[in-house]
Amino acid sequence: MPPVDTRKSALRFAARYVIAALMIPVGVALGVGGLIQHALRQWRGSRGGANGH
Amino acid sequence: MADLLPDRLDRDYEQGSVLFSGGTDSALAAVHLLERCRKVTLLTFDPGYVFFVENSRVHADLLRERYGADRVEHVIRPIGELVRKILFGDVKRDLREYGFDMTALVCMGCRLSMHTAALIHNLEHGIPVLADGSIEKQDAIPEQRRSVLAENRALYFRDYGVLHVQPIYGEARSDERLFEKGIAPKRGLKKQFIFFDTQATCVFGVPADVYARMFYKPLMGDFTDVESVAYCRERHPKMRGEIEAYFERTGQDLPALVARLRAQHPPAAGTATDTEAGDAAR
Repeated sequence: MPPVDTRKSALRFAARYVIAALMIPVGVALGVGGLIQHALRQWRGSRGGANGH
Repeated sequence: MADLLPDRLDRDYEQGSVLFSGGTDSALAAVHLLERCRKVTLLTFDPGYVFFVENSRVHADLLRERYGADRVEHVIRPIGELVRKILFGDVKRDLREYGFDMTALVCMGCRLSMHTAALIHNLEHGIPVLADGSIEKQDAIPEQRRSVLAENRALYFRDYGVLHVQPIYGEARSDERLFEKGIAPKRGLKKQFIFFDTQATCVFGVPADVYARMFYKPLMGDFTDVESVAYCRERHPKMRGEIEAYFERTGQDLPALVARLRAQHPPAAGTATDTEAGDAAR
């Protein structure tokens, strides 16, 4: 096995969590948008739309 | 009705190819294909917005070591132009039609661009089988849903003579299987996220995954099948156009190449019909 570069590993570890901390909220925010979109489709569908889409 | 086609190989072939990210799912799919095909081509595509594509060489090199360089070929190919036309061809219209669901569907547009490049490769090289590492455990992601896989499988076989299979669809721990077979360099590779040891990192990956798992599948249920298949069907003419344009540009006889692939399948393949999930979504 090649020797482990601990500095590189630590940087990668830190970058992983920084990116996760930034990107997971982006996914959640878009999901909330999707939630509203879905509710709107349902509401339009219940008012006589073809299939709510 | 979708043709009754196997989702894994039930006979031997001379050649097969695998959509190969370098992750444990596609590497295990390659192992399965190597049990049925004398030679397997690992197809790694770079859409232009992923980092560390070279990581895919880790498992590719280990597969070559295990099965022999004469049986395993690894190709890394840029597909930015195809992605621009197939995924990003009409972004405004897509956003109007699918809205926030594009967060998840963007991965399927990318996958269909990869399929286009893979179909071209297979046709050009006489390869009748195209596998990928789709798994049921990830069926929140549109391109790994049964309905989508069945839809594409039927089309690729009918129009191009390419049998599209998912040999590890029921496997949830490909990392463990691969380690047990002595191919994965360490255990627990599936637990890695964002920066992987053996595959690229995609900028769209995290939001797409969060959206698909937390909202898209739980919220939409079966409607994800309808929407995902509809998105696929919209892309199919574009894919066909790109494939035909490529062979016209390179002066190759597409019908003859399709016939060459069809001749490698048993005569009865794909002639029966069933009511796969793809039909339910129609």
